[in-house]
Amino acid sequence: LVPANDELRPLYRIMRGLGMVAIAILLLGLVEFLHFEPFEPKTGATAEILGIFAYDPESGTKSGPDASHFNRDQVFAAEVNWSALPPGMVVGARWYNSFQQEVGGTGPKQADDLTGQPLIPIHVPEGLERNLPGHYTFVVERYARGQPVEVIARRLIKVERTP
Amino acid sequence: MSLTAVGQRFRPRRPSRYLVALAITLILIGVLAVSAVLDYINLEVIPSRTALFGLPVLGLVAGASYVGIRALGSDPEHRRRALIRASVYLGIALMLWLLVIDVFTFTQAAGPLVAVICAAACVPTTGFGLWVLRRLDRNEAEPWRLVMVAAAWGAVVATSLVIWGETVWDDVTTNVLLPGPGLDTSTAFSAGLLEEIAKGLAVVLLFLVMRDEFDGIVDGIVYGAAVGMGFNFMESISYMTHLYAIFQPHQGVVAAGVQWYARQVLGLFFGHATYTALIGAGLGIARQLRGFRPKLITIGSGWLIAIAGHFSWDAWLTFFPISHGAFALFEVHLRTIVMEGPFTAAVVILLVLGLHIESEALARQLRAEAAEGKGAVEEAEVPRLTSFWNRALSRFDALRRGGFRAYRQVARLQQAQLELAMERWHRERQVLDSAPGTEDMLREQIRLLRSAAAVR
Repeated sequence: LVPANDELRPLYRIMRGLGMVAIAILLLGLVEFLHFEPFEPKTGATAEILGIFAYDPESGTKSGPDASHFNRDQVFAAEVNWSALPPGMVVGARWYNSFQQEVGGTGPKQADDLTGQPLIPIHVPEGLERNLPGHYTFVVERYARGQPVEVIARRLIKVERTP
Repeated sequence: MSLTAVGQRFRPRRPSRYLVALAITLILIGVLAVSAVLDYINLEVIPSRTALFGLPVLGLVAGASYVGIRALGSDPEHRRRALIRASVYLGIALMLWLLVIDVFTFTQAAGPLVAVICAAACVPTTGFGLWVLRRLDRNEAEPWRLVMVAAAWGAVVATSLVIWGETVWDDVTTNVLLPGPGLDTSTAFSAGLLEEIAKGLAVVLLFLVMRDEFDGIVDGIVYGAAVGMGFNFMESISYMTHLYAIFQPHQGVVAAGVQWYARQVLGLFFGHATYTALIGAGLGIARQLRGFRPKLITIGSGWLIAIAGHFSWDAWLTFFPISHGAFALFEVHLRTIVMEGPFTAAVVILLVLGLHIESEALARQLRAEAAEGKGAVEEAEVPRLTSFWNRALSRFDALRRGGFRAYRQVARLQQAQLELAMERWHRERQVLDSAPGTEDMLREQIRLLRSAAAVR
């Protein structure tokens, strides 16, 4: 493509080499993506999220109505009806903040083992005094081979910047 | 082959190049306009509003670019006025954009004063970075106006382009994918792909429109890095104000300060500057190659490695967690060097090799020009012109003998002689893309400058 005696050949070859390195990196990324996002047949199962409620960590009880907005000082929890799922299905639930940090969760366990734990609260990240503002995602996931493979319920709520 | 014949041979290619540039520009503006309006109507989220209200800024930057580029061919008096007008447009655009970001994204929480302080903190560091970049081309420094236009497009246009794209990508993937590493990888793909395309398009436009000032790999690296630095400037302000708002009142200043250090000091020449420099390197090599396939390979490789570098940082950052202990500062530096260092090292290798090849070629052309005896370059001048330090010594010698005016005259003479050598090199490589008779015009210009400088 570029003659051997061309003075720019070394640059061309370095650039071509970098292109190959790039393809290797992007393929590795694709493999990583497919590992964590496997092509898994969907079960069609759906978990029932009964609501997101203000939560008292001391007593472990919920209060107030189902809400989609909270302030930074509020602790809140999702309530899941585990009994609506097939008893043997391995499931888990997790909370993520706007930085995609995991800030709460339970499982993975069989659905019938979780029936005594309907409330899944969030916790404040280490080093902080209150919740970070932004969108929070709550997901209930089905597990297979030790990793989540299917989201069977999802709920988004917002923590406001100002109380 | 005569110069005229060479010029006529290449003349028909220029309009198509400009047409491609025009098409890209129109598509970009169209995409921005449509997506901003649709996002605003359908999503009604803050970033979309930012994109919508940012359109006047886009118009002002386009106007500034147009006026600035037109100024190149004007006489000195008109050029000065046109450049002042372009600077004013650009200044208004930047301030308006800052205002838009401030008002519609962060004002409610961080406040306008914080946004102004954050911007003011980033100006000296980014300014220093651009100054260093421009000095990298030891043979033919890029014009400040183009370096600034590149940085402004990186800061304003590229950031506008990615806001809507990343918002839509994020909205879709958050509702479809499993949270966790898979989603993180998807977000990293989005950042690498969309941001590098948005930044790279600015370098492509310079490559297509400003061919006279885009001579090879060194120019490509300088323009690419300038675009990346502009993008990094705006992103730094965005992250600083955002994190200040989140962590205020107790840790807001620390959070913004850490972002400033990470992006404007530690990461100034890494990250965005490196990635877009790789795109520029590919385009710069393509400028000097003949044939569609090698051009495609170098341009494609530059773009791919930029996307891959950006992706690897975003996707695999979590493999290098930072502790809360005494070694945190050390770990932050180590992480940047380990993860981004190889890409920056690749840019440095390409730059050093490119400069070496360019210097050798210019020396060869200067010797050939002197041997032809046309008066533009004399045998005795060749050793002086082929060395950066000898050129600098000549200028300072003129400064000592005749003051700043003499310094400027010698500098302009040296620049014209190197431009002539560059033009000859392009002709030798059969990649000439200038108007017919350019070499003769440069020789005439050198003759006039030599008379004025009286250094013969």
